Amino acid sequence: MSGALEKEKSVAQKPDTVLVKAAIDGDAEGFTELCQRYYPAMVAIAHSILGDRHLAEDATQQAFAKAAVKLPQLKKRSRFAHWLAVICRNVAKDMARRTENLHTTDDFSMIAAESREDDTTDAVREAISKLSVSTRELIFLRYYDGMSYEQISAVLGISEQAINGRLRRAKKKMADYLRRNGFGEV
Amino acid sequence: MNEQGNEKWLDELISRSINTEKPQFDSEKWKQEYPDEYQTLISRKATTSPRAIQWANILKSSITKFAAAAVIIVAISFFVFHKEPLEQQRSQKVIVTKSPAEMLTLRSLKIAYRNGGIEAVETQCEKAIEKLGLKPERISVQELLEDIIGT
Repeated sequence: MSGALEKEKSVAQKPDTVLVKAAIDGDAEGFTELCQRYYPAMVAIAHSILGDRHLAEDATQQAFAKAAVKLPQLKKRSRFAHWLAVICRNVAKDMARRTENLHTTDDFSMIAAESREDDTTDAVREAISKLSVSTRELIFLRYYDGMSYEQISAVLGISEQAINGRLRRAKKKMADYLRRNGFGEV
Repeated sequence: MNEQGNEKWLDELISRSINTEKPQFDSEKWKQEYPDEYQTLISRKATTSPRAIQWANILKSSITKFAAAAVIIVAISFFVFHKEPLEQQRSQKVIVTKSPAEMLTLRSLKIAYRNGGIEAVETQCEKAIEKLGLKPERISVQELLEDIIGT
């Protein structure tokens, strides 16, 4: 096994609470490990709000900067992911307001604008844009990095059953929208 | 189209539509972009003194907890056993206030022996003799006991 893989394994095995404690005590490595662990999820959340991958990454890094300063204020270390997601969401919303890119269910078109591979892909992106902000966030978390229900539950602070229910309803809405627009089963 | 088939079809489409390259966190770039925040993060290490960390580790260790429990047990034991001699002293005082005849009964002498050995028996005998007013120049406990018991 290579050194990098071993390191990755050891990072995965360390619980959040241990890394948070280390980061509170000023351990930069512990904080970096936490950032690496939650970077894809935070980018997904920011992307669902901003509709732009690069802006989403900027927002996530800004959120990490805020988290680095505010970390000692975190009361429940086991809720770090949820706490970080709240910071990231707020940063993304602020950024969207500043750049006047806050997308509503009606004007969320940047995802579709990012790439125009084919009509079906555009239609799916359009269907995603019709979802509410929170549902869109859930779809991004689930499909952006293939996160498990357990991981999504930690980030959003809701039960796995609730996630399952919301995802089912979201996908039904999307399927209905696609069928109405002439995109049936491929 | 059944629900399962519907989901699979849609899952593939959603994945294809939004699943972009997995983002990777570049810590070095982040440190450069947010130097103040990074400094705040690492400065916390300096504010926690090594002595404080050492004490925190000592207090958290299981050995310390075990030692603390042991000290408590020893303290309780000392208190219990320390209290007993006081009661014994009190009982001795009670014996002293008895009449000389009572002080020299087998029971009293046995109690005295249990409490302080042969020296306590001798002391009790001496006190009984003092009360009686008899002051033989020299008498051993053995002789006294023989005299009392009649053997």
